[in-house]
This record gives sequence, structure tokens and C-alpha cells, in this order.
Amino acid sequence: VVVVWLLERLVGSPARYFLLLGRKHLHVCMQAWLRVCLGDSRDKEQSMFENVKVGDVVATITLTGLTRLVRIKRFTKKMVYVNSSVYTGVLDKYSREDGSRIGKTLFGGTSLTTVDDPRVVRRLANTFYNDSLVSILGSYGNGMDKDLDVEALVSRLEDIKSYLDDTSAVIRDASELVDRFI
Amino acid sequence: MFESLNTGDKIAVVESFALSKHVVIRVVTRITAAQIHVGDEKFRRINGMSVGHRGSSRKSIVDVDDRVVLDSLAREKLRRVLYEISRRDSTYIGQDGALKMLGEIRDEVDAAIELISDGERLTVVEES
Repeated sequence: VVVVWLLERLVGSPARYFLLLGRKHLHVCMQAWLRVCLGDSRDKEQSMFENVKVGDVVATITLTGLTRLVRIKRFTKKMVYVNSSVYTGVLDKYSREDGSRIGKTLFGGTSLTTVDDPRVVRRLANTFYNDSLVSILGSYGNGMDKDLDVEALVSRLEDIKSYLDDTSAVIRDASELVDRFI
Repeated sequence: MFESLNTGDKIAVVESFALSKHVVIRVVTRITAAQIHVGDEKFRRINGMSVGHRGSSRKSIVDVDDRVVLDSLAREKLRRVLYEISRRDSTYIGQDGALKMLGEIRDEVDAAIELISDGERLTVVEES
């Protein structure tokens, strides 16, 4: 109880330390330590990333390239919090001048970056392309065509064509592409 | 149906399976009073006309303009287009790569539509 009380006094986030006591999340423990060491200024004006606000959508990229879009939940001078504590980033250590990369996870595995980062757009385009093809094959390619005549088949191919056009339009427009994944 | 059939004409060989039919376009190589020869295969005339059967096999010959033949070839074409789509390597193609691939697939679909709509091109003789 004393330890919890002390931690609450230091950081003011009881739920986090109940988790810590639950022994489940080592990274939460590490974060606590980091927050104590780096300080936890809640003054958002001091943020070195003026363009990034709470509620903004950012992207996480794992070492294997897996990309997810997440919203910033909380922002401090040194750190940014997104979906869960796993994606906490240390901004001043890993930022770049162009602002494209706003953080890195505590253990260095996952980068936090802005959605207009070319890596993010590339990955989302890839995912959307694959999803669209799976959708086309799922809708038109599973043996449903055995009773169709020529006219019906032409109409089906026209449908596929317009689906491909829609997919191209989304991939061409990066902001539209991002919207699809939020 | 085969009254006016001559040597060198196109003919559709239809192979029936339990749930599907496989159609191939071939050339008639020889005609006798009782049989129609298509390559190495001989088809029997039934009552001197109508559908020819190859002995007791599940193969028969049908006129190339037959609706069954055109529909079947068109379905086969659609299957091939979808197969081509499914086997494309899409690893790390990115935005430009995806647009390029989508353009290529669209061209393939366009070509398939043209082909399916044109009965003459659809029933091109296949190598035996």
C-alpha cells in the first residue's frame, strides 16, 4: 500500500500502478521509471512537435513493417501516448527535423510517425491493394460463375473494372487512403 | 446439326464431368458416313446427325456457335482472369506499384470483355 501510495504521489496514475503490481506488464514498470527520470510535464505548449495534437492520427511501424493507425491519447513534453503504453515514444531522442518521425517505443521496436510518412502511405497502399484483390476474388472467383452466360459474365467483368477503378482512386489519394484505415 | 460439316471446320469438343464441362475448340480432320474425326479422336454419328459421341466416353462434339460452348468458354476466360489476379506478387509494391498493378489488371479485364463479346475470337482453335 505504501509503495502504491508513493508511486501515485510521484506520477499520479493509480490504475497504471495497479497493473504494475499485477505483474503483467513489465513495460509499464519501465515507463514508470522513465517518466520519473525524464519528468512528466503536462504543459503541451512546450511540446517540440507543434503540429501534433491530442486526437491526431499517427502511425506505428513495427520492425517487420506492420503499420497501424492510432490516435494520440495524451501528450507530454517528452513522451506521446497512443492506444496503449506499448507505443509510448521518447520524442526528443528520436525525432527528426522534418518531423516525419515523432517517436519510438520504449524498447525500440516500433516507430511512431506521422501518417504522411512515405513508409506509411506505401504500406497502407499495399494493404488496401491486397484487401481489394481478396475482395474481388472472394466475390467473383469462388465458383459462383458456373451458371452464368456471356452477358452476365461481361457485366461481372464490368463490375470488377469499376471496383478496380475505385481502388485506384483511393490509393492515388493518400488522405483518402488514410481515412479508410482510421 | 452436322449435315453441313466439312473437313477443316471448327468444332467444339465438350468433355462432361460431374459438375462441370470442359470445352476445347478443334478442327475436323475427316468425315465418314458413321464418324467424325477430330485429331486422333473419333466421334460417332448418332442417327446420322445430331450430337457425336466418342464411343462410351464422356466427350461429345457440339457446334462452335452453340450457346453452351460460348458460355463455357467465356466462363473459362473469367476464371483465367481471376486466376491471373490471384497469382500476382504484391509484396512491398507501394503506392505506385499498386496503381501500376491495378492498371494492368484493368487492361486484362478489358481484354477479357472484348474477347468474350467476340464469338469469333473466343472460339479460336486450340492446339491439341
